[in-house]
Amino acid sequence: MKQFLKEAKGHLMTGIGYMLPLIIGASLVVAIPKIIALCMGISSLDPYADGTGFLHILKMIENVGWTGIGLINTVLAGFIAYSIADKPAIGAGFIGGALASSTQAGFLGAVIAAFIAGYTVKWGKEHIHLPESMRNVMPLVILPFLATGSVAIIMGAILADPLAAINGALVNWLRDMSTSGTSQLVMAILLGAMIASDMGGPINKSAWMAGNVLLAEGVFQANVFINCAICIPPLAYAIATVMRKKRFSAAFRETGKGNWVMGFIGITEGAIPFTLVKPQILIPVNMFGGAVGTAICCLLGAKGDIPPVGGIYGFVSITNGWAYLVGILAGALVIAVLSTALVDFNQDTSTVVQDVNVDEIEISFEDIS
Amino acid sequence: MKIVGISACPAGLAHTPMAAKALEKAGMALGHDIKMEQQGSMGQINAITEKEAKEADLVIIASDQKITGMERFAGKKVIRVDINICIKAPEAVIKKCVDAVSKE
Repeated sequence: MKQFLKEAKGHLMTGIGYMLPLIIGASLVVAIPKIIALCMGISSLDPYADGTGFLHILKMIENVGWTGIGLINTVLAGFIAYSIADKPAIGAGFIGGALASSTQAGFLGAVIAAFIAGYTVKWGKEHIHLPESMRNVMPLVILPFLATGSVAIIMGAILADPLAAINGALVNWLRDMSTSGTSQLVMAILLGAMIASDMGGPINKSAWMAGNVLLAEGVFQANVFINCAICIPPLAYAIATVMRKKRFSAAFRETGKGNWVMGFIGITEGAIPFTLVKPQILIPVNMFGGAVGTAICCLLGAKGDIPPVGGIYGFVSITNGWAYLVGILAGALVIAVLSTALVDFNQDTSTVVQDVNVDEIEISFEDIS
Repeated sequence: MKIVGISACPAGLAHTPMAAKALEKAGMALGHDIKMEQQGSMGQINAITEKEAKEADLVIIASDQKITGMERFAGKKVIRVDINICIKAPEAVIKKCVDAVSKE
C-alpha cells in the first residue's frame, strides 16, 4: 500500500509537471489583455465580447487564454495516465479529464479518471496475452478501447453524479475559506510558513500541490499566497548578501547574485545553500518571513481573480498586484535582517558535514522489461 | 564503477540540475565514472547515449517522476532514489547504491 501511494504521488506530480506550462502560458495570455485594458481605464473586457475594435480584439485574445485554462483537467488527467501506462493510456486520460470538467467532477474526477485509464492499460499489458499475429493490435486497439471503456462506464455512468456532488461541496468550502477574512489570513500564514519551511521538500511540495489542486478547481486565492511565499526566501538572501556584505563569504556573495534571479522567477530552492549553514535557526526564520510576507499580502488585499502566475512578475496576474509586491518585499526584508543578525555566513556549506544516516536513504531496484 | 543516472523533478527548474551536479561531483570524488542526465523543463540535457547506457554498471534515477527513455537501461541494475536526499547527501547516496549493487 505504501509503495502504491508513493507511486501514485509520482504519477500525480508528473501530471502536474505537464500541466504547469499550460497554466502559465494561458494565464499570461489572459493577464496581458486585462492589464492593457486596465491601463486604458477599463476594468472588465466582458462587455466587448461582441463587436469590433481594439477592445474586442483584446477580449478575443483573453478568451484564448481561458480556453487554455479550461484544458487544465484534461491535460492533467492525460499525463497522469501517460505516466502510469505510456501511450495507449493518454487518449483515455484526456477523455476522462474533459469529462471531469464537463460533469463538474473537477480535479478529483480528473485524477480518478486518469488512474482508471492508466491502471486499466497497465493491467491489460500484464494480463492479456494474445497470439503473436494479433499482438500488434494490443497497443493500438485493445488497450485504448479497454481504457476508454472503463472511463466511460465508471466516470461517465457510475461516479459522475456522486463525484460532482463531493467536488462541489469541497470547492464551495475551500472557496468560502479563501474569501472570508479571518480564515483567509490563517490560510495565508499557514501556506507562507509551509512554502518557506523546507524549500522544495515534502512540506513545501504539499502546500504547492494543494495550490495546484485549487487552481484546477478555479479557486485562485491560495496560489496568490503560495507564489508570494515562493519568492521570499531566495530574494531575502539576495538582499542580505548586499545589505550586510561582511556577514557573507565571497562564495556566498556570488551565490547571492543568482538568488536575485531565483527570487524573481520564483524558485525557493535558491535559499537552500544559505539555509544549510544553520538550518536549526534559519528554517524558523524563513518560515516566519514567509508567513509575515503572505499575511501582509493578504491584509493589503491581493486577490486572485484569474490563475496567478508565479514569480515577482506574477503581480500582473493579481488584482491589487502592489499588495503582492509589498508582501514579498516585507517578508524578504524580515528574513534578510533576522538571518544576518543571528547567523554568520562566512563559512562554506560544502565543508559542513551533513548528518544523514546512510541507513535512512531509501533506494529501490526497478525492473526494466 | 561506471555510473549513469537521470534526475527529474516536477517543475524541472531547480532540483533537477542541483541533484545532477551534486551526484556528479560526489561520484567523481569517490573515484567513479559518472554521468547524469537531466530531464527538466528543457527536455533532456546531457543525454545518456545508448552506448553509455550499455557500458554502465549502475543506473541511478533521482526522481519519483516519469522518466523518458527507460528502455535504454533494459537489463541494467536500476535504482530509484528520492531527489532531495541526492542534493543533501550525494556521497552517501552513491556509496549506498554502489554497495547495493556489489552485494547482488
